[in-house]
Amino acid sequence: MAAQARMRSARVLVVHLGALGTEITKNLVLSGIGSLCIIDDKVVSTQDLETQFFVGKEEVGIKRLAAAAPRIQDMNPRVNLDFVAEDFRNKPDSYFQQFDLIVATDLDSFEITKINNISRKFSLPLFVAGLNGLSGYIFVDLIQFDATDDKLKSSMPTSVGQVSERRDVLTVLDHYNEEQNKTYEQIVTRNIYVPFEKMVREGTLKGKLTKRQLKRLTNAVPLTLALLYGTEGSKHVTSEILKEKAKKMCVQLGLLPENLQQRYIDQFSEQAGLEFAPVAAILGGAVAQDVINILGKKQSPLNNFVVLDGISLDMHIFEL
Amino acid sequence: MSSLCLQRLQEERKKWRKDHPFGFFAKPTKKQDGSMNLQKWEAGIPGKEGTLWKDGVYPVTIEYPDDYPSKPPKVKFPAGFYHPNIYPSGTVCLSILNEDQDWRPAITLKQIALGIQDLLDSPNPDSPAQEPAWRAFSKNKKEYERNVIEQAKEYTK
Amino acid sequence: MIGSNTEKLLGTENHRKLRDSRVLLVGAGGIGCELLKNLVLMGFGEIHVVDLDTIDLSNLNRQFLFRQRDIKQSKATTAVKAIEHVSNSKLVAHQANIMDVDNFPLRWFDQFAIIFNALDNLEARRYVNQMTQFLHKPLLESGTAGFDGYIQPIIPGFTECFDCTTKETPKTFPVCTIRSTPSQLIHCIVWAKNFLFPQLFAPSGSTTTEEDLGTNNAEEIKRIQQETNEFHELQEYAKAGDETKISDIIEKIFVHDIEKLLKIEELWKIREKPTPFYNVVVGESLNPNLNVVWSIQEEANAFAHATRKLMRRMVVEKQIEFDKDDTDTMEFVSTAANIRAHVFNLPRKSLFDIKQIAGNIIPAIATTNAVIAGLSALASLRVLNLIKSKSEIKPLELNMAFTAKASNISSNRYLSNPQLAPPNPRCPVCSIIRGVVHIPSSALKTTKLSDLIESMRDKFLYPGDISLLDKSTQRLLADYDFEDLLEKTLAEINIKYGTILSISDERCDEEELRSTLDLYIDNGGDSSNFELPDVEVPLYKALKAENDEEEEEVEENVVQQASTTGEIIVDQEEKSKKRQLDDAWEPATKMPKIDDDSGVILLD
Repeated sequence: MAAQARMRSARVLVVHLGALGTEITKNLVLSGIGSLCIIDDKVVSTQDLETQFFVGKEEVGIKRLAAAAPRIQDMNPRVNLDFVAEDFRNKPDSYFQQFDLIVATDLDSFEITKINNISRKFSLPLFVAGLNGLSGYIFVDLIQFDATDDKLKSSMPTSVGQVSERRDVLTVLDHYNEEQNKTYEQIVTRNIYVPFEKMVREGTLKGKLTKRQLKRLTNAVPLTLALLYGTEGSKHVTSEILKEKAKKMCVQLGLLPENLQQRYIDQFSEQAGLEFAPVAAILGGAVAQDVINILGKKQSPLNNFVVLDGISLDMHIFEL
Repeated sequence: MSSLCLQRLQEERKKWRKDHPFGFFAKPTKKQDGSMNLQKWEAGIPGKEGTLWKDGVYPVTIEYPDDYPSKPPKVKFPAGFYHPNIYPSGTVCLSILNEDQDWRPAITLKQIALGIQDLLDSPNPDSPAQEPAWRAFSKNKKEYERNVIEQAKEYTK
Repeated sequence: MIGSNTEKLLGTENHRKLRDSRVLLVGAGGIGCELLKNLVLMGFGEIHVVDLDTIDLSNLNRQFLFRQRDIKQSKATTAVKAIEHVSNSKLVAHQANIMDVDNFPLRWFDQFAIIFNALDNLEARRYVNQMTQFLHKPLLESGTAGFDGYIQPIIPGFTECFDCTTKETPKTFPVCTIRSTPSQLIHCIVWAKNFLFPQLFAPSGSTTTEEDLGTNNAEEIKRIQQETNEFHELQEYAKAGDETKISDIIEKIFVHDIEKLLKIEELWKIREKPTPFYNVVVGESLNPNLNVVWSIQEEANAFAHATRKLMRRMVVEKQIEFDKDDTDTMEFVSTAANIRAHVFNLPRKSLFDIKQIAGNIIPAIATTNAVIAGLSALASLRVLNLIKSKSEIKPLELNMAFTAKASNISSNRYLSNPQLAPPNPRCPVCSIIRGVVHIPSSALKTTKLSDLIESMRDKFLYPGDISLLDKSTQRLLADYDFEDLLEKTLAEINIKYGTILSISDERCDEEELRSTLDLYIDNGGDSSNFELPDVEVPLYKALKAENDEEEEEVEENVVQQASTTGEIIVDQEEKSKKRQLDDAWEPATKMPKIDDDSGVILLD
């Protein structure tokens, strides 16, 4: 199949081998991706032992990549692996041009903007994911992407035309499955994406959700975005500062600031940037699946922002 | 086997005990260890009065699969049973016993038994399951009738 | 651990509770490997892993704790070894069947704070579900099929249990069925597509589906492994493109391999023996009609024809993947499946039909397993009440989760996360009263079945008209029309520790009936006699007469139509009416198949 061939020839860059980088790497290596490069300059900490499985108890203090490399390669000897134990910020823009796709994890908002500028410059698909304790997010910028989906035809057939601000159905083709006695639609959808900076500064849910939906939306959404709004290092935000930022974010999103709950604000200020293994597993699985999907040109990709509330297990996809 | 299957088979036994059509019988078979096997029953289907089949009570086995009642039971006459819609192995070809056709979990043993009784004298020539009875039924009614009456004698009431 | 992330997240007190918790993980396969990793990293104090299976080549592309060198090793043991380098937990591996009551009696399950199911079959899932119902133990149930997956916390007595909803039969098959004892055409198709084809034409073995040995027969396992090795020889033929070897291939897979199988006599005690496809002379004539079942000679001709074409392609392409729309690969799989079906005396189908079936086999997807295992681990924190900012949990406020976007249920939700539903009052498992009977082993040999039944009548107020089932072996032991076993001792009728007996009120005309009671037979009891549990068995209102009438009406319609057409055809109106009846069985939280592509986010 062509999809398999594309997978085998793809070159993917993973930025940072933290909890998320580890999960994404595991999933991509298992999937038989052609080649994977990991860039990370940190050393193994005791906290890493709570969130990562390519490093070991005996390796605390040595470079994460040095500790992890043999275990990663051992998982699938057929994948070409490249380990770069450097700070990705020191690499010139042109360095990134060699890749087909970038997955960046554990970045603050300035770093995300930087890498997004690079990905746009070279027209590279970009996935960004981050963890905030029991919560986490995924940001996707594929610039423009035409996806093909197969969907069971319902009583309301899909029509060609705009389905949302960023998604346009280009063509719909019916095909009949005899065994199931059902008709499927093959739908080609054009996805348009916006850069991270624009999403964080201008993104809104006004007109995209009903009033009731806006009211019931989990606090994790404005709080995640508040943490991404020009916060360097993203850790150690006091509850008060976060609350102010979140209120502003609520206004921008079209949410009611009074719906912010102190319990959630405290949770996010305490847990900003904190890694937690099961949350990394969920988001890492979601990112890797989407990477595999777009390399294989199967299924509609995420467009463009996902937030997981790890308590309610709410995980929406927003066009921001 | 699921608990649902077992519970349902117990219900079937109770329903049959309370109410079953005249002349029919149905009960679970015995296992080697002397206990009763609710997944395999033996039943007798009498031929309808006023039909060629009237003199017989025809034995069938009813086997319930593990995922009954999602999946239908398998009903079998003795191998070689003479009827256009019954396979040489004895398996009954009936739409209510076919998962992909009209089987529904709510169908009871009584409905199945009555359905089979009906099938005896109303074969469907469009879905042949065996050659001899089907050919005779469609080409040589005399021969067919003779054979059916002959067979009834084997299974007299 | 100082500066522990988990401690920060959960708070010191909850973190200590987590470190003191002992948990059970059932299954070390696709979800299990992922889940074990999560539970270890989270820092549960003690984790037991149970899996009977050994590692198969086909597991390696998603069960990330296993390597080529681990093939044939125990999954549970290998998984534990593979995660030890980061583990701060006590890990205990059990290579055993979770349903083996000698290894794992009911009280063994009682030591765990929570049980995680990471299983691939309904039988074991149901069994564990039942154990947790006896013990009122929280269970985290999970499952995946392709891109679809779900997790469901089950709090016995408060929320829906695994059997509250009817389950579709999963489309996975044990390896022994596929490789040795096919009993349906689908088994032959899976064999041709997922075993034979990749063996010959995709030597790196990249296409494989969920397979587990599912047999204890050492001889059979040995044969399966030996067969795998022998296929390397066939691969060489395929690679070299030596078309003169096609008849050797036929001979090998449809004669020699079958003869070898026949030698394992144990396999054929309860099954019909296969017949090797002797003396095949391949001809040239092909049947162009893809919609009919071909003669076996035509199948053989077409098999040779497809193999020849694939061999020629191999020279250029080096490896070929199965694709139902690739005529050569489809013809190969279809003919191989049909010849195998012929060998095993199974009905064959047309190429067209097989194409439909082969196209629908769902592969296991590593990322789905990863997401679901992450959700399962995360959800356990709320079940165990270890989330810092949350007050005491109410079971019905807990959430389950299942894939939404990937399952085409919603374009705007990655997951659906409905709150848990209350138990289904008609559930055949959790609506039933249960208890444990303690009985010393000596008393098993002296107690008569009638003694036990009499005591149950006395204690729980059952009437004379009852039935008694052995649910473990699905036997009816006694009822109104069956009294043969009453004077036998429990040991004589093979009632032993782990047996689950079920007593029901069978009176026909009463308005109120005594509820059904399930009893687990366990070791214990001080005296020489058995001890019945102290549970109350309430009365319930018997099914009303009007319900019966409704059924009557449906019944007559079915029969009426049967008499006119021979085949019973239920018309559309009738069907929808019955659907409603069936739907009465449907649970409240049946995963909603929302066909939503409207671009609107749906909130509950």
